[in-house]
Amino acid sequence: MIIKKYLFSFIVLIMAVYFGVSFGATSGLDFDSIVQLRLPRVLLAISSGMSLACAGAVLQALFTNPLCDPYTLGVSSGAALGAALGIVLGFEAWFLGLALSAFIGALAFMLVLILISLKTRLTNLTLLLCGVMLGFLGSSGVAICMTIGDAQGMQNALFWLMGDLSRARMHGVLLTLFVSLILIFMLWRKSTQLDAFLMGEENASGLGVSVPKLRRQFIFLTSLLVGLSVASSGMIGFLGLIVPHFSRKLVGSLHFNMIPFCIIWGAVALVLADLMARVLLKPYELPVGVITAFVGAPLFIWMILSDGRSRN
Amino acid sequence: MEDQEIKPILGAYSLNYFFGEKQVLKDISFELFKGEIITIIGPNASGKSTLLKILSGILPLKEIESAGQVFCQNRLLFKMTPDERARSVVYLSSELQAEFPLTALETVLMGRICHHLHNYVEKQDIARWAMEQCVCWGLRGRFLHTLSGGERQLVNLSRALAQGSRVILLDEALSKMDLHHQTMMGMLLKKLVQKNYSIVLVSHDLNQCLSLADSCVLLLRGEKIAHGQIADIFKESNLKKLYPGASFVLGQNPTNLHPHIFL
Amino acid sequence: MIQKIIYFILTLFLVSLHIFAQEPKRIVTLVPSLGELVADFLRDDLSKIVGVSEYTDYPPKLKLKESIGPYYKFNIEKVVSLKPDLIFATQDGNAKDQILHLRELGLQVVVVNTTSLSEVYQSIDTVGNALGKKEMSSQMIAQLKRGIENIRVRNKKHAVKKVLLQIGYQPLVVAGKRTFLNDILDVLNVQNVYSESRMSYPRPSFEDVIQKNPDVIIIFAMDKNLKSFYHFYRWKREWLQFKQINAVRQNQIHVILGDTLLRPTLRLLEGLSMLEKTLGTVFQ
Repeated sequence: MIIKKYLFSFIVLIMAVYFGVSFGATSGLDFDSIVQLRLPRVLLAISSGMSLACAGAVLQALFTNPLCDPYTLGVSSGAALGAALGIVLGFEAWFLGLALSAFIGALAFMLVLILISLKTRLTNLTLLLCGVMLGFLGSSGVAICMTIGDAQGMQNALFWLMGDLSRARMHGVLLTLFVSLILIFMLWRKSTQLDAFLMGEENASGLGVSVPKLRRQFIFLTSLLVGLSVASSGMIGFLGLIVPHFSRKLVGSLHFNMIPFCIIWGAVALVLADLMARVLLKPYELPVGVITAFVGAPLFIWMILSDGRSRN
Repeated sequence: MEDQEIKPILGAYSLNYFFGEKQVLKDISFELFKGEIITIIGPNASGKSTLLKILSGILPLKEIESAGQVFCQNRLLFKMTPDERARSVVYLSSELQAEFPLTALETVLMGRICHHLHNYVEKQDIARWAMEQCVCWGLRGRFLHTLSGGERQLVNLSRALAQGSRVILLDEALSKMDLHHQTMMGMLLKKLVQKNYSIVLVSHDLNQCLSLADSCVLLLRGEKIAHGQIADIFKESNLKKLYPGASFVLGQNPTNLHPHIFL
Repeated sequence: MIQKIIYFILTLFLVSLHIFAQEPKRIVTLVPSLGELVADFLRDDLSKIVGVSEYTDYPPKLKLKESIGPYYKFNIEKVVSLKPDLIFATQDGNAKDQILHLRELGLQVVVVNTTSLSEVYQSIDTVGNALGKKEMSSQMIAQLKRGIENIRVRNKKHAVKKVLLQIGYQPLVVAGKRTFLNDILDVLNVQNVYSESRMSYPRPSFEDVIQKNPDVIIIFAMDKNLKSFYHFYRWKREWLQFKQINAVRQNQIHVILGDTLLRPTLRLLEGLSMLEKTLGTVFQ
């Protein structure tokens, strides 16, 4: 039964990749150009889609809150701040330059979170609040950068912040994909312990899970994942929120199967969103975060409403 | 027949616990023996839940002398790894959170997390046994959020049984059940105790506590004011200390001759 | 005899090949101003331009060309699909990483700067060279220099007035140091009140402007669209509340169409005289 679901999901993924590579701002592009221009983007969409969906799933379980998404902990704001600083300081010209500054920003914020959770015995709620505050700090920092930076850099920054896969280059993308897969695998290995968090922190402790230790490990791994995604593709919202919900509806909440489904459908969602971003208003390119928000928000509302009906 | 001292399966000694500046538990000590049901009775905010959470390791004790110690099966509780703790003691709250779509069976299976065994068939068998004991095997495919509060508690209890811990701490765990289920679970507890399980029961239903338990601990504002066999401890004077505003008559339950409170 | 003829034909053939090799056949311009400049060089041979950026509207024939997107984020796929052999970009207008990307794909991109008058002369030279029209570029530069020199001399006589050059609204954005517009104001012998700014396009507060007290405020309208022209007149009304500013008191707030002023071509002279005329009302 579940094998059928996996098969179906893989087929959808392959179809999405096919569409993503076949369509774009122009038609009749030669094969070499397709490989050079479109394939890296599609692969990056797969990488970021997987990372964000997985991070969302883990954070939702960790905080026993189905409304968590990769931005809740503020780590993505850190990445955005790092990137904005990078643009202000002029690193943006190199693909790795921007990615590196964003990644460092993400790591810095994550370090702060981990230090906070080491010093005090925090409950999930307080950790979440700290994360939200860090998020505000990060976005204010970004706003400052945008004010002091020059107009052109600002325009670039704005576009990038809303999700931009156009900086994809094959080497960088393959590396990102590889590292993301490793991080996802490390998270997936701890599926049963993550399951314990589904019933709340206290129950998790009662089930024999070392809550502080695992919380730190999960935050560390998801921050790396989110940092990697924001560094390479900017801030893309809603994926980390919706795909886990959808995944749970399909295969249940236990993470052993839920995480693989999450990453497949996260990849599908982002590949298709990027395709739409490229094709809808050609030759203008929409930021991919706009597509995920436009499609994601109504979808999410519909999901919540239909959930609510079945709960009563 | 052994002359040796029978060691308690769970022992709390001189526990002092603070929430920030406020002292919630003051020098609490008591022991739980194999095959015993102890009930902890006290008004709201007397520290009952806190005590149970400390006994199960959910709330960690400060590692200083004045905080006291908890022993479980002759080992210090906090020295055990989380899964060893889970295999020894299980805490049941009054309610099971159902934020995510989980079936009853999946929930019960979670009890086996601390055992780290991956044999699915074995896990299924244990889960089935646990759920049959708690009369909820028929609910196994249902999602938690579609169950009533009482049904969810049956699942919770099954989960605790599946976990295999021989010390069960019930924090108002039977409160949401209807009369029928409460009675059945009461009988289940008695049966478990005969198999050498040990149980700590906290409940606002005093009569339930009185009919199930052998001994009790009376807690008032974090301090133990009495401890011993129910027949000895349950006196009007003690009860007046705990519930000064209540009016009741202490009598005897005709079926089992345990004390009974008539309001 | 026949050998000589064959030799001659071969040489002709090789020479013409060489000429053709130098001259690009498929050109893409990534900013409107360069579209205009390249068109100036190519005169009637506009078919060589295969792609232009959005809003490239002069000469009008360029409006019919394929668009590769807006200059701040052009569509790389579109550019590649047009198979250009030469691409023109500006450092201040186009995104650095996009230009890098084009180069990584093996395309030839010529990048120019247009942030000062001397850079404009330089860019005409660079573009001319790339198109194999060195003579023409020298001519154009000489013409432009002469024209500007004339204007400069004409304007030496009058008293220096303080000018504010506004290009943005909410927030207020003005032209500052190291911008092309600053150089132009210099030619016209007026003082840009923000010529000593740190940023190229500073965003001062109204208080700061009141303090600097310009005699003339020029609102720079970049859009030919009439509707937005009305929009710019709204900006003008905003200034009217600050009666402390000289420019407001003396009714010297002018809206001008800026696109001729931002082209590094001979049309610049047109734009300059128009600006001169506008400012001319000041210098009675």
